[in-house]
Amino acid sequence: MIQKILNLMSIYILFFLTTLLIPIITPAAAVEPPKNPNSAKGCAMCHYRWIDTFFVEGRGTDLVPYQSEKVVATPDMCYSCHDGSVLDSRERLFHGQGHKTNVKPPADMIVPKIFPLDENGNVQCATCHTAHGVESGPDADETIFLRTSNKDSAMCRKCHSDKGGGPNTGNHSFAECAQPIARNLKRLGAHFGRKKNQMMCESCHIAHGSTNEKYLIRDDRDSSLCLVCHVDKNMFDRSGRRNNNHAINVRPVSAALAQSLQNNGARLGYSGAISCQTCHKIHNNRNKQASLLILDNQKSELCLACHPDKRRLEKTKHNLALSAKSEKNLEGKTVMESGMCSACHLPHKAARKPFKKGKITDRTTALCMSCHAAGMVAENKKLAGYLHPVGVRLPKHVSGTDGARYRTVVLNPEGLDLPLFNEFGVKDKTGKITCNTCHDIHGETFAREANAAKNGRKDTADTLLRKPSPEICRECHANKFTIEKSKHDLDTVFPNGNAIIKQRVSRPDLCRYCHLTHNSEPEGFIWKKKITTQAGEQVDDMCTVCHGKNGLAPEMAVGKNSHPVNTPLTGKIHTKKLPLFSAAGKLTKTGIMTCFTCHDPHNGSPIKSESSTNVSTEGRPANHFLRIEVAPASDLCLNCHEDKSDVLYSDHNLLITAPDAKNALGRTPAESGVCGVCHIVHNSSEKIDLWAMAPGTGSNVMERMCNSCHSHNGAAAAKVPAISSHPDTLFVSVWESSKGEAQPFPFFDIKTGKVSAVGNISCPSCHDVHHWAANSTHAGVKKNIEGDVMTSFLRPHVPDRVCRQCHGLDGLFVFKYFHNPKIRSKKSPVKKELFN
Amino acid sequence: MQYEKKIHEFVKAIKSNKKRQLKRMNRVIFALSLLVLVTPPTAPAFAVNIVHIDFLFKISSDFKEPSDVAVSKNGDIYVVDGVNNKIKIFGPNGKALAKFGEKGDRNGQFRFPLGIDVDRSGNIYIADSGNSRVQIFNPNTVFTAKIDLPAKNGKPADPTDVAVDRSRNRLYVVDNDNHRLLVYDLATRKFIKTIGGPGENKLRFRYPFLMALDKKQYLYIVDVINTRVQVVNPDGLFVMYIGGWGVDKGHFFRPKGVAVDTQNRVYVSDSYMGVIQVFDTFGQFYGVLGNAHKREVKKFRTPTGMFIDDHNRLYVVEMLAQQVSVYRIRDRGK
Repeated sequence: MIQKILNLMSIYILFFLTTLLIPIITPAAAVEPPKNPNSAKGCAMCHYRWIDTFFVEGRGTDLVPYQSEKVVATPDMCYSCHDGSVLDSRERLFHGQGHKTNVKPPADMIVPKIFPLDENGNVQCATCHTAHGVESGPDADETIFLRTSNKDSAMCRKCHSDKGGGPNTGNHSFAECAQPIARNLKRLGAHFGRKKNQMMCESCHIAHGSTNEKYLIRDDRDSSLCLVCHVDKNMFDRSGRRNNNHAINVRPVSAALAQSLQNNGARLGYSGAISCQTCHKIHNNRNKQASLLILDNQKSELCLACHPDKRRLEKTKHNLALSAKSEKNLEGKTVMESGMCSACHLPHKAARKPFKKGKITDRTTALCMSCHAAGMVAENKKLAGYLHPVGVRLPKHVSGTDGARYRTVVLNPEGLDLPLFNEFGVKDKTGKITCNTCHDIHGETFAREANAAKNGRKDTADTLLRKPSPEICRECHANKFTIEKSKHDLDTVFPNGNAIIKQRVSRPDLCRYCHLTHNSEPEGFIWKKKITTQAGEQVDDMCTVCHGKNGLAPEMAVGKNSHPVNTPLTGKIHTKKLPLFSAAGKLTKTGIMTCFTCHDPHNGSPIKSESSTNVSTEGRPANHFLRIEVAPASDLCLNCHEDKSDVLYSDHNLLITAPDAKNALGRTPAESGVCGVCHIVHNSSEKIDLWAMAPGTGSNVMERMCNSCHSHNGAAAAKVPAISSHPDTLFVSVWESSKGEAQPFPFFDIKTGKVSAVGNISCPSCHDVHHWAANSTHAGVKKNIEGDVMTSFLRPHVPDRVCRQCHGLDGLFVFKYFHNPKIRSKKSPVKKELFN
Repeated sequence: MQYEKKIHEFVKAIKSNKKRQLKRMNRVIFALSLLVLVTPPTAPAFAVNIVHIDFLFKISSDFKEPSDVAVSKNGDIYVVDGVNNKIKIFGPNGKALAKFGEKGDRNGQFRFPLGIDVDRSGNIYIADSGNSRVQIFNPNTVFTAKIDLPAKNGKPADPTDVAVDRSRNRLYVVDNDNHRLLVYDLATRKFIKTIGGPGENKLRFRYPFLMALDKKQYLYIVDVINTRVQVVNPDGLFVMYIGGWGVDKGHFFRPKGVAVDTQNRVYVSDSYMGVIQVFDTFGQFYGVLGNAHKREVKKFRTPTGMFIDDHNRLYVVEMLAQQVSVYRIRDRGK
């Protein structure tokens, strides 16, 4: 009985004690009891609850409460030494990325039992670390209190078993690198395996203190980590030159990361930029190839996933699977082996040896020419001769000193509907013209079908143009389209003209009647027809293709007595408004005069605006295809012959003094201009000075030219001298000028009319027909003005310089009365009075 | 824990229905119950002397693990903001005045500095730990000199604190990793001698960390793993230990900072226990900081470096709280 009472008491007491002890027992029961508790300082330094005060005496103190919970590997305990007082891990532990703690491992991860999780199944510091660990760091002399050896990342891989194994398992290689480890990687704190140049987890990752995602030792969003080792894969080399690598760290403009790739793990970098990991996946890659591409690219499927618009290439000849199956790229592979894109593009190296010759310097063109050149796979479409300029920026306007435009290209570059490209082959509105400016070899914007349907013809030359011709030309050369509906619109004016002038391309159009963008002969004009000329100055011959006897405009053929061309401007002749050209036809300030100096073959009238392309642009004879009008003011002529402009202020301005006079073409001064009434630029009957009038009488050619007007039936009937010929005597000029100035008193060869050092005195010896007086500034006054020795178109100092040389003191007299033989006779009272 | 173990055995005995064992257990439990009833409770909490402090203000300035603090003669507060690699200067009221330094190894740059001292002239001495050197700046924070510290047996010096004794023209540097003190001539910056080495005896250290000088130029060095403070006289001779291993009053678990007040009492911070204990001139425990009126011990968050100015203002760096808190010490001693 007593025993039962004792038993009952014991039960009650037990209940009582249990109630008393709940506050103490409950927390203790929630934690794992110590396995091998030791209150020695060496243990209790971290095993806080093992301190005698807590563990043995079971009490708290005045300073701290009783500690029953295990805190040995809590962050605060670790930090109590890693705060710099023993080891300074402040940055590594307190900042940046570190191996996760206080989280459960992924459900599919098997954590070996040697790595204990806390009572909640979470990873803690103690999961990997223990003060009772081994010298097990990545480096042999480093102790980081790991639970097991981490040589060659062995410990990491015990949990992350799917991240090792190399490409065969879809992971970055763990093997020895073929090339030495980059020094920069070592500087970043990377560790390596025991074998030489052996990669491991800590070569890229750091368990604590990373400032980057995924505990990487360097950022990989901008690919900078990858590029530490794979430096040859960078977009630029150290000198800043573009490498032959796929662009990285740029936002895709003409491409987009395919959702299918994203599903496979492809990632973009900062701001949506392309990074290495857009194409490569270095862990758990399903595509277990050495390159760790996110998708097998043997058929260019990876390329086309982001560049689906390029798939149009499949049915064109640019798909070498259709046109050149055996052609190999620089990797020695055919498109059948490495995909359609690989013929021209490899992601990390040049696919073809760029064609570098002559002026072809831009990458895009060099790539095109690597096929379209002699001896290459597309030799049948080779580009030879001269090409439309490539690798150049849009030229600026070339203007005369007065602002007149000789060459106008894109009026509004912002509105240009064709792409320009920068040095990296990327579209750039400030870039350069390349083949891709006009051609879209992938058929991106102007598909074959669309072009064929629109034009009703099949011409492969057009199939890869971004716009049909000639509209594609208009993009840059809109100012040339004033040619439309003019007589130079040969496609309209001479539908069959192509056969007549034997052009080389079967189907001409507005521009292509005269120009070839490829394979032309004259450089400056990319002229369509092959030009040969004995003079080697082929520019004008381009005109004579039509303006010749066998051309389309034989009635406007240029005859032999025409204004000289293919000659530089000399002496007092210079141009302010009209362009000069090189022998090859390029605009130049110091070149030669050509047909194009005066004529603008694209512009029927200089007063037509560039926008008036829908109306006939035919002008008048005075301005037909001329850059400046020649009538009535003769501004065109006077642009170069400025030294003759005084004629406007003389009686020889027939616009004033003889408006009804007509030249040999029957044109009045108003129709032919001040100059044109006396000179015919093309096909004059008179070679000398291209004289335009019917010749008068006289002993030599100059007299006859002057007497065209100064005759009783001429326009200057009131100014007919009684005598106009000097006795036929040869004179020798002693004039010498170190400055190359013309003779102030020229002698002439009376047969040819040319100025000669040994010649005769003729009308122009004394008269300069373009200058009434030295400083004349008034125009003709429509009446007969009697001049004097200071005017009358006389050259200065004639009696002193010439007449007195033979006539002595009589020289002034014979000069004054040269045209009046009666006064000069011995019986003349004037002479008697003067000399007796 | 003893009660817990006995209860487990008792329940186990009931299950096994071992009567004899049950009887014996009954007796034991009965005895234990009597013991519980008659045993007086644990010594009443806060029987300890509370050294009263009044909170004045705190400084939070985007610190990243600040470690030490010093105050100049004019009251400006200098804080070592180590992970930011900066020294930040605040006015006596805590208003930010200036900052200098950045990460690097050039002059004026730091690599995780830890300790600081400011002499009476306003010159600033920084223990530039990661660069194994001491850098000296003039009162305008312009770099003036540096002392590159020697490695020992291939192990780079790890300076964690500096102390300037201008009266004796000495500069003391703690070399934490090599468990020693380095003494330099302040004027010439020439090395004079080494004090101590690794170990547990007098003038032997295990990870000495922060230190302070009293008015008589006695040096107080926190010996972290030896869980004590060692006092060294101006001649470099051992004077005494303060504290020891444990969690009771007068003991340390993770001593970190030390400061000496105008009455030559020694304040030692313990970063894990979160308390600051006060010792008298003879190294005897005097009290713990707190609220004397409420009988509350003040719990700090990882208190580390400390400084006590001439006006008995206490500056405490709370590393993981990323702040410096400032108090007025009200206790005037015995």
